[in-house]
Amino acid sequence: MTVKNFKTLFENRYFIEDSGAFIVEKSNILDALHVIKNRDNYTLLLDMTAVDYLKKDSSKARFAVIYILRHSDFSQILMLKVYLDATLTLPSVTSLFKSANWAEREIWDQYGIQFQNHPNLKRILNHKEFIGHPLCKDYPITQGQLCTKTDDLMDEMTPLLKSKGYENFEDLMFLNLGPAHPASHGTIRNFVALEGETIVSTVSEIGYLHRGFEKSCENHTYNQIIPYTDRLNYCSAILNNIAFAHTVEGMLGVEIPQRAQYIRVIIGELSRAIDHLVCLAAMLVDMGALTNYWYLYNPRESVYTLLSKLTGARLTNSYMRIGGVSRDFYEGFEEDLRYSLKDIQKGVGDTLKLIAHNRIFHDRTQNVGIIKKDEALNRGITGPNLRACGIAYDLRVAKPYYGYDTFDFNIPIGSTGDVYDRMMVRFEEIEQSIYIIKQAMKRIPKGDIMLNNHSIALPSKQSVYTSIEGVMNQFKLIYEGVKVPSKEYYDAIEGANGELGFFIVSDGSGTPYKVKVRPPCFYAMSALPSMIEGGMIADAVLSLGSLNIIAGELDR
Amino acid sequence: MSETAVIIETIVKAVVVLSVVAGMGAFATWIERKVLAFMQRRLGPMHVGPYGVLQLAADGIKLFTKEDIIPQNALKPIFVLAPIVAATSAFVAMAAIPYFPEFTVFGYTVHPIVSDINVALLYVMGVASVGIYGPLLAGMSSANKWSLLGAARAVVQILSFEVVSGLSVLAPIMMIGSLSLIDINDFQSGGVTNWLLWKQPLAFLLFAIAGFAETNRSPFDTIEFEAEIVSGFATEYSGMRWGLFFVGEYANMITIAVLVSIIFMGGYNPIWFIPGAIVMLLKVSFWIFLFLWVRAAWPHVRPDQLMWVCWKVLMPLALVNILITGIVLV
Amino acid sequence: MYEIIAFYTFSALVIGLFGIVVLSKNALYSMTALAGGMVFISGFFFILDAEFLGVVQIVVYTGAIMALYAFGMMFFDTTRDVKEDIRCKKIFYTLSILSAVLVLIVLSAPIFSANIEAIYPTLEGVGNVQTIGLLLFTKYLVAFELAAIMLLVAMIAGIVLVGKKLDAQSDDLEVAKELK
Repeated sequence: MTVKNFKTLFENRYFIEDSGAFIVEKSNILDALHVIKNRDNYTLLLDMTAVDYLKKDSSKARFAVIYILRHSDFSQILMLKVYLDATLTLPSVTSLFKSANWAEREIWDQYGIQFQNHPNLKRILNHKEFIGHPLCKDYPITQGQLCTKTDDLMDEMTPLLKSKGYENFEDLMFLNLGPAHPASHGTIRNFVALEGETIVSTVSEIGYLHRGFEKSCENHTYNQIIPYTDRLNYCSAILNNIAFAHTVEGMLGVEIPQRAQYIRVIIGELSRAIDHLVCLAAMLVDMGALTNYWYLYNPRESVYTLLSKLTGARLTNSYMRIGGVSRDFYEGFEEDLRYSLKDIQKGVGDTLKLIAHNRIFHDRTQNVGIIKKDEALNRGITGPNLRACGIAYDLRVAKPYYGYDTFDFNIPIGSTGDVYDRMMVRFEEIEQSIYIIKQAMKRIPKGDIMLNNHSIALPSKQSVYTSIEGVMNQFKLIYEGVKVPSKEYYDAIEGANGELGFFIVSDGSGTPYKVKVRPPCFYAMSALPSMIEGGMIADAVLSLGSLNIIAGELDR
Repeated sequence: MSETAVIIETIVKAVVVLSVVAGMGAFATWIERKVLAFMQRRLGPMHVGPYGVLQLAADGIKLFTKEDIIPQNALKPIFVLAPIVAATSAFVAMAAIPYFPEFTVFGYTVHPIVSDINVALLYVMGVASVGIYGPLLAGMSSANKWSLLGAARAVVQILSFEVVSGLSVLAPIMMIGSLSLIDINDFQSGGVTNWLLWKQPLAFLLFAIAGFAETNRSPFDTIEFEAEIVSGFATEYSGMRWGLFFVGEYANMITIAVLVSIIFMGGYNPIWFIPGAIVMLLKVSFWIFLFLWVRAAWPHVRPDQLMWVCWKVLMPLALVNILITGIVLV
Repeated sequence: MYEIIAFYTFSALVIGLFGIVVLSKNALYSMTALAGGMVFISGFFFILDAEFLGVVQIVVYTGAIMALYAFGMMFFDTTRDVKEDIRCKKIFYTLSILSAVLVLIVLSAPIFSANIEAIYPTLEGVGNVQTIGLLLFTKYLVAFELAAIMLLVAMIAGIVLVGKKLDAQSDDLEVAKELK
């Protein structure tokens, strides 16, 4: 959709800013989103965030809230921007998009912007005793706060139970599934009310692993942020690297060399495969199928050996740089890769042999933890979890990057959106990733792995040691970072868990003014209560596992 | 023989059974780890002793020297009693099991059974079922919600499957006309073709399935499955108290393996040139191996699915089997 | 000699345990003591060579008390003491003492009149399973069948009651959904 269409459609009520975002008046935001969703089919609210312009240009207003939406053809993005007045309030859009629920809570938590008519506006990432709003530019980052009291979550649970017709709770048993539970895969707390072993209602509390990723980013140069992105989804660290580097390169308006693109495709797909391996292995252990754990983890181990030879680290690789990749394939990489891929295929094949026709496995996973198509879209679920519902949305196809349109591969989709579909989609995606890697290895061209642009890429050591120009380039890039022109920009790649996007506000300096990551887990996690209510504890454990919630990315 | 001699003989036998089975149980943990490891493409314990065989000793030392923790809000006497009940009932149940054919040492005939009572089968199953008081008491006294859930699961699961195992074993009893395990064994003395397995295949299957459920083995390991209810009834236990539960569980496994071997697989009757004692050992080992094999191969069922299978599939089948056996016998 | 030792050991255990059942204020202690007492009573049957009855005692009572535990689990926090709320202490004590005396008289009457005699003494060579089976299916056939029918009726009634409750619940849910 072009800008012109919008103008005619909305009768000049909206005008576009340089950043590509449409400016909407505060009073019109609900109408605007309603029209955009229902008439123009922007059905997926990807992310919501706010920007504090205190130290940039607060002439219009200090705060602005940004809505990022995706069209139902999944290729186009639309950004809406609302400047806030001094009251710092905004109508909540949870009635239109359920994904806005947690997103608005996060904005309230981080910026102190209030959303009217929000069902449950309370802190989400920071502790409930926390004072202040940390992403505001005037929040002193050195201020430590000691928070000790746990939230009993009854303030959320009581109305939830009342709405289900429970007057007194004597017959119910309240139980904390997590944050320290063998199957919570990280520190996630699900507070459940049980009747027998059936879950009546659930309240999720996240934020146990919140470490202020976005605040840290505001104080580091772009290349320094890459190691931080490793810690988001630590099961596929390289995909996070790629997503961040890809976004920054988009802001710079540069395209990295062909060879670097192919390397990103190959290593990215390898990371996707091991991410899925981890998810599937952990899930099967939650089901008691212990043997599959080793069948799936041993190949992952071989990939880690390969990655540590290539990047120097097993888990947190930090392999990407703005403008390319940090080093080229080593000699014999192709051989190692072939062995690793064979290992993966063998592990996946053996696991499928054990479970694919197993009645117990079918009974445990089929029609368990169902999430319907529309609900999934409304909740902002993406990636394998959305594809399991039957929606073939994959950014690699919908909006190809790094030449994904030239590769031959399929997008597996499910039909019912249950745990079984989510698992099988992941199994098939591993196969497809291997297929892509094989094609890419055949076609990978020779050439540079970094941009030949001294304002982005570090000079060669040769020139640093021999020429004053090289020394200066090195010095400027290390001390000041890559200078990114002032922009507000969102871009995403297909992460292992779904659309992994970065919204970055730059101010022309070497450090970003604001970074907001769109973690796919965050939106998947907000759908968990609706999936597990009415099921058993055993189902809840499987549903949680099948969403592949990674706490590092969820809590940031 | 005087009364005192009988008492002394019984005590000696009891001590022998207790120590041998406890030793076998401990050894079975090593076997379990090794067998599972080989099925799962890893090595298992390797560092203590040759092929890690001394791992048992290391584990034993660890269990004995670990701090014994009793939670503040737990009911101490019951909390202490629970593991003892679990282990005791498992061993007391073994009193009526004949392990080997009788043999003669120094002109003295030994009956390898602690007490030959004529309702042995009923006794073994009845006393073994007292074992569920272990998990139940542990879960209810721990003052922990996971333990309570584990206890509830234990009661429901084991009581339900006792119905199945009781009913399924009724059909063979009707054919034999005795509850004595020695009679049952002698009934099948004519070689492999005389095994009850061939005449009562359904009862055999049902009893085996119920055996998996009663010993809390995968795929029916719902009572203390860590991904769901942390450690079930044993969540708050540590050290030797936990060890007693463990020993009881393995003793129950051995009991079930022996029972299946005696009732359905010809017991300790010699096959061809293999003497009865060795035959019995082989059968029991096979069953233990099967327990491990299944654990390595299959996922777990959900508790409600387990109940569904028990009451809507297995129990009706057991009743039908009794009916058919009755009609054929009449 | 050993029988006497065993008899007194079991007696002491059973009396002690049942004492706990009555005197303890904690439901879990009482139930556990009850179960233990019931199991030890089976010891008497074994001493009397009535092995079948002994085993049945264990099987039946462990199962029955398990139901008590289930109720305890559902209705109480079993780790806490139960607070007894006796409104009228006089009536309570009078009734309990009266019933105790009554039970004592009933149980001791045959001993004083010295007419305890085994009607069906154990027979050599015939197990007591057979004896019990013969009696149940000849002399006490009607009583046995009646008891069986009563149990069947109770079981079906239980299933129907629970089933009805479940149906009602699902009806309620549907109504609630329609109202929404």
